[in-house]
Amino acid sequence: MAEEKMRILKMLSEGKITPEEAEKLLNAVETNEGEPVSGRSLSESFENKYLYVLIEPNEGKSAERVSVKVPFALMKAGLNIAGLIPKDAQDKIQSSMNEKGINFDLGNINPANIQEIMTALEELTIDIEADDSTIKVYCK
Amino acid sequence: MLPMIFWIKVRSTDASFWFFIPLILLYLLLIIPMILCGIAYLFMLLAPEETKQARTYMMFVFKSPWLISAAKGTEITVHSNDADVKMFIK
Repeated sequence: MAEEKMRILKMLSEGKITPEEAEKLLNAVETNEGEPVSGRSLSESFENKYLYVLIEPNEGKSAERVSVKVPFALMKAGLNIAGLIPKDAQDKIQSSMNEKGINFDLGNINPANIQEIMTALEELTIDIEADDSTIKVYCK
Repeated sequence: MLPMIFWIKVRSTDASFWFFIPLILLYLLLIIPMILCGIAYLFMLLAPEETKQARTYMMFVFKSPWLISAAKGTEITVHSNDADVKMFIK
């Protein structure tokens, strides 16, 4: 348990998470005190959480309304599976991504990073106002 | 708990219908490739260095039920002037 708390504090000191996120994670760890410590203890806090993407037409526009609800568990599974991509294929993907200006290292995907990504996603809210429609992305 | 049903509901001005696909069918279909991959994996272990990359790809097959299971709760809804379409995994 102390190990998990130290890891959270380290992430906070490195600026990888905000103080609010650190508090949430510490609370989650404390809630699970007394229970066997496993990699699932923190991830269980993501159960019943979803990423929503809503596309609403603006007034006077007859565009379609779209709503997508994706469970956090699916995103986490996707990230875990991305971590299984062999080194050779990863290098090709990496170079293609770099060409497009996306500086994301697939080789860095590990359980600790996935946890960080999922924690950061919890706070995610994106609002895009376009001419025809409004796009909202949020987690709940 | 694995997701069991994939629903599609369509409601339009002309006609409305819905249907579902029990995902147990998908799991049953996956059993055969998984068994074959399991056997192939064991043979590949005889030459671990040469088959390292191929074995990594096989992990995708072994992890596929887990990915399908994680899709439980996914919903896609499209509303238009003429029709509403809703797809979800329950």
